[in-house]
Order: sequence, then C-alpha cells, then structure tokens
Amino acid sequence: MNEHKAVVLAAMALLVPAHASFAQLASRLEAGALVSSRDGLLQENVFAVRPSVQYDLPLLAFHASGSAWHLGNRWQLADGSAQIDVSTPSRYGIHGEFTGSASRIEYDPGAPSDQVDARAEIHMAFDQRGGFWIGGGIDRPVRVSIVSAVEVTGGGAWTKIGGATLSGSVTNFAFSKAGTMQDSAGVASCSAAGGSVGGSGAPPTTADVAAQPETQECRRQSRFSDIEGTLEWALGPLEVTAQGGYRIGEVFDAMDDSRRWGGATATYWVTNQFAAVVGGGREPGNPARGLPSRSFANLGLMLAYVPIPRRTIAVASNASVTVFQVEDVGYGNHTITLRAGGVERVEIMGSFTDWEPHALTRIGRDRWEITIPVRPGVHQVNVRLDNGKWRPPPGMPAMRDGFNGEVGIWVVEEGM
Amino acid sequence: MIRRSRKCLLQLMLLPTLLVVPLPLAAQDASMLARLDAPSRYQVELMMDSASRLDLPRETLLSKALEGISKGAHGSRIVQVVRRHFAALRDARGTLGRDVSADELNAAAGALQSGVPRNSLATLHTTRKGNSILMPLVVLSDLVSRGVPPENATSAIINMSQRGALDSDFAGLRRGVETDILSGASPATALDRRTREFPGRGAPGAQNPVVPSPTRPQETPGPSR
Repeated sequence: MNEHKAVVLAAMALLVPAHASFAQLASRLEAGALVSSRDGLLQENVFAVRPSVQYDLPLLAFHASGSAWHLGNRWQLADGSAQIDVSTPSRYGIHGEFTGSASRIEYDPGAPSDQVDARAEIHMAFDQRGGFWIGGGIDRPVRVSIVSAVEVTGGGAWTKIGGATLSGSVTNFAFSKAGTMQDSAGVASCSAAGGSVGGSGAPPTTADVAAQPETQECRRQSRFSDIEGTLEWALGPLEVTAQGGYRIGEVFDAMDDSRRWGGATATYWVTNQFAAVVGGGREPGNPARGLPSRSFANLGLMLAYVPIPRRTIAVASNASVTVFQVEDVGYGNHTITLRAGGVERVEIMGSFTDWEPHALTRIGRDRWEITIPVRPGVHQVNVRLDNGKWRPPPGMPAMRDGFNGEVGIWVVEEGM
Repeated sequence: MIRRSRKCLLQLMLLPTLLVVPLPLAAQDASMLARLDAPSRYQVELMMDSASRLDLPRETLLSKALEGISKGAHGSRIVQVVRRHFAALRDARGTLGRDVSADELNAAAGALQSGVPRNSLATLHTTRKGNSILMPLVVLSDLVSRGVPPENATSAIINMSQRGALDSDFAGLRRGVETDILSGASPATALDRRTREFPGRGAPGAQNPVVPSPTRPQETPGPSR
C-alpha cells in the first residue's frame, strides 16, 4: 500500500510541476523491429521498445531512457541511462554545463556493463547562428577492475544553416587497462610479487617484456580520439539525424572495426504525436567498457504525448513562431497556443504578466501552450524562442518598444 | 461546548486571511521596481506620481519600466523610455481630451512616438465621430513600425476612417500590407495598393468624401527632456 502511495506521489511530483510556468515534461515511446549484429556473432532480430522521459527546468534537466528487447519469448533489458544536467546562467553568450549520468548496457544477458560519468563544459554561442564548446570529465566503469577511470577531454563547434544544425566534435579518451605482457603492446608498467618492470615511470623495453612470464600483470595506457560530425535537419514533418565518425589511435586501442562509423535516422511525423521511424548504421566499440562495435537497423513507430526535444546543444535557435492563436477559456483565462518547431523552450511575457516571462508547455511536436489570466484591454506581448530575442507574435499588430525591439499589440475584448 | 470550539477553530482559520491586507498601490509599484537601480527607480516613481496628478494612466509607465527591466535594458535607458512615453501620454491627452479611454490614450501615445503628427490624431478622432479610435491607432503604429512613412500611414488611416471603415477593415488593411511586404513590396507601395482596394462603406450612391492630401508633420512631438 505504501508503495502505491509512493508511486502516486512520485507521479504527482513529476506531473504537477510540468504545468508550472518554468517546467517542461516530455516523453516518448518507440517500438519496432530491431536488427543488431556484431562481428563473429549471430544476427539478432528483436522487437524493441524504447521509452524515454525528460524533465526540464530553466537551469536543470533530468533525462532517462532505456530499451528492452523481446527475444526468445522473454524480455531483457538492453540498456538504460539516467542523466542530470545543471547549467549556469548565460552571460555574454557564455554558460557552463555540468552533467552526471549513470548507464547500463546489457546486450548479452548476464554480462552488464555499468558506468557513471561526470562532465563539465563551457559553451559559447554567437548570436544564435553558431558556437563552440570545450570540456572534460571522468567516466568510471563500475565493477570492471581491469580498467581505470577514463579521462575525457574534448570540444566542438556547431552552426545552423537553414533548418539544419551541423556540429563537429573531437573527444579524447585516456585510461589504463590491465593486461598481460603478451597482449599488452604499449605497456606502461608491470608488477609481480618479485618486483616491477617499467614501474619507475619509463615504459618497459622489448627485452623487459620478453624476460617476463606471460601471467605477469601489466597496466597499459590507452589513448584514442573520436572525431564525429552530426547533421540534424528538419523539413516539415520529416526529421533526419545523421552522424559519422573516425577514431584515431593505436591499433590496440582503436580496433579496425571501430575506425569508422556512421548512421542515420529519419522520423516522419504523421501527426504531432505519432511518427514512423527508420534508421540504421554502425556504432563503434567502447574499449573502456569492453563493448564491441555493432551494426543495427530499426523500423518502428513512435508515440509522443510530448516528444523529447532533439539533442540539445544548449543554444539559442533562429527558428520562428509560425502560428499564434488565442482562445478565451472563461473566467478571465486565455489559452495561448503557438507553433514553433526545432526549439527547446518558448516563453511569453507582456503587460498581462507584469513582464515576467512564462514558459509554455510543449504539446506534441511543435505546439506550445499556456493558459494564463488576461484582463480585457490592450496588452503588449512578446515571445521568445530558446532564450533568443523577444519578438512580437506573428499575425499581431506590432510597434517599436523603445528598447531596440518590437512588441505585439494584443486587444483583448470583454468576454472575448 | 463543541460548537464554541468549532467557532474558535473557524476564527483561527480565518485569521491569516484577515492579516493579508492589500498593499497600497505605491508599495506594490516599489516592490515591482525593486530590480531597478535606486536613482532610476526614483525617477520612474516621480513620473508615475506626476501621471497620477495629471489623470494619466500611471500603470502604463510602470509597465514600460517593467518591460525594460525584463528586456535587460540599462536603468538610464528605462528612464528615458518611460519619460518619452509620459510625454507622449501628456500630448495625447492634450490632443484628444478626456473623452477617450486609457487604452485609446496609450495607443495614441504609441502612435505619437512612432512619428504620427498630433494634428493627425485630432483629425482621426474627429472623423471617427465618437467611435473608438483604438484599432485605427493600433494599425497606424503597426504600419509605421513596418516602414510605411508616417504621413502616408496617417493619410491612409484617416482616409479609410472618413469612408466609414470598421475595425475589421483596419485589421484587414494591416494584414494585407504585412502580406505584401513579406512578398517583397515596399511598405509605401503595399499600403497604397491595399488602401485602394477598400471600397468604402458609405451609403449607396453617396460620394466618398474628399481625401485630404497627406499632411506633413509640422513638428513631431519629441520626448520631454
């Protein structure tokens, strides 16, 4: 009984703030056929479901997702992750982001790979058209004693061209991994009951290696860099995401099957809350987690009461509001609905809010809504997308605001 | 005994509501302007007090200051904008008199700040013959903000008003001009084309009144310094 109460309370805690001014809840459920194959193993054809949920506050976001496979008349967890993002306020286009996440990947039943990650990044955006970021952090595989914590550093840049967002990044990974002399090219140090080789800091020589027994434990420094490019493009109901990458590193860190990878996913939104998804590609291996590369193809359907925003680069966009509608819902309240695709946040303010910004709630893919009390009379109103410039809503009379911008004039009639 | 204790309980429950006494207007304004630096806040409050004495809508000035705060404007800029609006309100009151609503007065102040001449406001007020000048003024300000020369916009609005245009006609004019401008037409051309499309709403057979030539602004009301 107490468990039921806890579930109800947790659900209320999630749902109630979702309708508050500054909170945003989004969720998706994807289901369909998935074909996954790894080199040397049999191809797996499974029915996969992938739920995901995201909860955003102005400077805080929580994201959780997972996938389960139906294979051989039973369900198995394939992967799952939970992530928290904390952002600093933006000043002169610069802001910081701190991310903590925990994830599990279990493509082979009984062989889970768990990892906790921590990242810090500094982002700089240039007038909604582009920007770059640099950062670093630590990835820590759990219950894998042979791998140290992974030091991650990197950076990237992005730009918006029309409806497309292009981004490129370079990420460096460095960690030490246990091995034996025989398989540990690039050995940093070895240790045994009788002493160590190369432990003084100098890498062991070939003669050292040859002189040691096979069973001696060694630590090997692994370093590799991933160069990745991503394209996100939206054209009406069609959204396409494509990425490709190349891995630079020694052959024992970057296996040949993980040198290059690429993939694409296309989502066609039949309605605001229903879409068809098709995708495929190849994922690189993860040496720190002991995960091999794999190829995949999926075909499925997606349901979205409120869809997860596309991968956020935490930038302001140059998207625009295409439709702005107002409906009198009685008792002095008005429901304001607008359409703006490809954005993560929409706010409205005006004389009716004493110029306090109010965030709209995403309904469907590109519909945003808020119900707010508005007195009859003439009001001035502005809307803002992704922390961009305050602009008058489309289709509404506008005038200069005196602050180098414009403001919409909204005439609210008595009993409208 | 039970009834008495219930009564006490009810009184205790009502006590907090009695303690919530509405704050005086000035105190509310002060709290809303708390994010403004002290010298700027003082000047804005001074203008709001002056507006109250002149029977001008002080809440409009407060709203303008709050707008500037939320848009990240500097205190001195906010004071400048509020002062300009205060001056425009005063001029609008002087031109239109006291038989206009606060909304019309605000719209008139906005039109004056857009560059619409004072005498045109008076002409528009006269031609509307007691009808609200709110929508014509809103559309007038919109047209000017879209790049239509103020004298052309004023002339067109007065012209339509004299030909019996309704609020919906003005709204339609605005939409048409917006569409044409987005299609690549110059603002003046768009206005000219859309104004000519308006057939007039006079009685059947009645001739449209003579349209006065565009009045050049003698002196655009500026902000009081």
